[in-house]
Amino acid sequence: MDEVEAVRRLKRGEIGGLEYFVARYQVKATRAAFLVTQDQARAEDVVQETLVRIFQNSSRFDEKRPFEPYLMRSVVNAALNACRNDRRFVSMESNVDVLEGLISEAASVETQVEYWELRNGIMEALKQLPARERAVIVQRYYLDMSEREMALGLDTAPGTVKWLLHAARNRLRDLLGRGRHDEQ
Amino acid sequence: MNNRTYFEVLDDTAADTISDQIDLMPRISARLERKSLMTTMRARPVASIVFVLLALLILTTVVYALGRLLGYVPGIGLIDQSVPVRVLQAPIKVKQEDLTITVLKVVADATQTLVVYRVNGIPARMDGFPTCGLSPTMRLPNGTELKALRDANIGGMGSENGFPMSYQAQMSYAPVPADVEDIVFVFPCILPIGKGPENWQVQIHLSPAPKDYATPAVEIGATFVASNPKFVVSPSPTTDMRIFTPESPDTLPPTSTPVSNGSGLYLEKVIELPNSYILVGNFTDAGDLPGALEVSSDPYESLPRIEDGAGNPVAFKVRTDVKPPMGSGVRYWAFEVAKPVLGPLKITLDQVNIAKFYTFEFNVDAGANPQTGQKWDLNLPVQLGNYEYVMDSVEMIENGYLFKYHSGTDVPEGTSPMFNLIGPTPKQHSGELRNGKTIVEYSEKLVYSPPLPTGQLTVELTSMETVPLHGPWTLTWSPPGK
Repeated sequence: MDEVEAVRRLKRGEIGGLEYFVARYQVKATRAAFLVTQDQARAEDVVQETLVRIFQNSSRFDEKRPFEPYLMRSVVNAALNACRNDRRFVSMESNVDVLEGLISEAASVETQVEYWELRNGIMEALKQLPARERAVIVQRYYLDMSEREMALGLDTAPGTVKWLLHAARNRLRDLLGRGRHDEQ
Repeated sequence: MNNRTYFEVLDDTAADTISDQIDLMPRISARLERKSLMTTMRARPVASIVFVLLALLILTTVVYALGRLLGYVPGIGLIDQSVPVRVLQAPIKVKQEDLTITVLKVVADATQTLVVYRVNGIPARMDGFPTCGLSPTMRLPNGTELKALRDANIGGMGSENGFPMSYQAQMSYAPVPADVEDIVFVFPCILPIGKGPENWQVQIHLSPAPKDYATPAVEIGATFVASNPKFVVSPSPTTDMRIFTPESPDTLPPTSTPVSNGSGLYLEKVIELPNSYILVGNFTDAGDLPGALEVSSDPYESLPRIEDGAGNPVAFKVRTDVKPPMGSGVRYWAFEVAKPVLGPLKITLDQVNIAKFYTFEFNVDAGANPQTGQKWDLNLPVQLGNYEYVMDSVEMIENGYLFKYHSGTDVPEGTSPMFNLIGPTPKQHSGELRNGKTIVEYSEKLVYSPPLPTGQLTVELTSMETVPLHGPWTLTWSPPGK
């Protein structure tokens, strides 16, 4: 079965269509949800609920659109909703620029130990961000969405996304930079 | 030097917690089953309660003795008695705040550990689905969790004055080792996480089943004769839309499962109880129907007729506790017919629903070197099933093409055609739909990584409609002579 056939089956309410998409995207979707929620059980719950909703509303699914971005956008939104009661507040001075530097470092680091340490650092830094900023990071860097797509997905203005992304980058940079500085 | 992408870094970061081996499907299936009944109940509470009462009446019907290794337990289904069966002696109730979990039945046989439980006290919430998405687990004293085999199967559902809500479900796990008598049924939550008590633990002690716990049952021959209509395909001269015409029924030779005789009714097994037969089978879509079979999870939908050897109608009960779960392209059923019955029994299904696809292809010559902003007006009428579309134009945009077309407003919501430009997969494919007063406008934007497809572009439009397909399909089975 290919994706076109799976969408057809999904639209007919066949569980086989859903099984195809679960098998194909469950890992990525759960990881995206986890990066936002920072909670494994909640992430799995979010993905299950999103897929159930998609299945139940599949007759309204616009088959012209590719499935994966639709699913991932829905998962991130659901993950964000799941976090809406979080009252985590981070008071940080914003430095300029960027998560790219941090992830770039992780992307090019040679040893597994250094890579592991950087991953831990990224997780710790993500944990300290408000959920909305985590969602923006996930959409931009994990799901490779454009700022316009992110604006549509988050139902907000592109300018707001730009601002959120900027704020998230700054905060992450600040958190990670400070963490490493403290270790020295 | 390593050169990981941002995606890879974040993916590896998340993979430290979320492994590649997760399997959400069992829990999703469980939620779907639970949810469909809850939705029904919300929409039609009175009907749902009536349904529950009927189900309980059916499930408490007692059938009497005969039998060997198999046993039939109403509400549980068939159990394997090749090792001593152990059960929960009396229901256990655990309450926290307004929520109650009642473990009604536990049956541990040679093949599985089956639990039937009920949850009461779920507050109706307007801002989302009111229950936890995580399935309960079964834990042994040494902390090992038994593997979930089948996640949930609703046995009934009810409400008290509309509030609070409750549901009854069934879980199946791997068998409990013979030397283990105490197990723990663990619920991560009942309400969504953070909304109520979490980590519920129900201690269960297994005792040997009473002698008359299961109605002895025996599997008997399931040889049957089937008669299926045959469908032929003839191409249409104008498009590749296919037209199917039923021919005269094609009678198949006597056969027993497993079989491969095309789409139609199949008998998988027959269970003989002291006072009845349970016929378990399916309608299989073998790919030769003029469209894909629509598989409904409602066991009471599209029921067949059953006639005895004299042509008289035979009453039957739908046995959801024996019916296999639904599968892709296969619709399972289980019907119980009371003894004595004059054979042979003939099961007739007059109609199924299928999805029918209509496809239209056309070419656009973009030339060898199309330029951004270049536009081709098409004004091409396209008939897809019952609906007419007009392809308006194609425009070259940066690294891609923008196609525009429209239809009348008679096209039902959600049935807009699937658009495909044959050739390399676009890097990005986005579509828009605008509902006007008299027309619906569609646009499809396809963006490619270089090189951009040029020259003859072949476009494929496909739409789907659900239509009834008339049979009849029949299956004939003879009860053993006594």
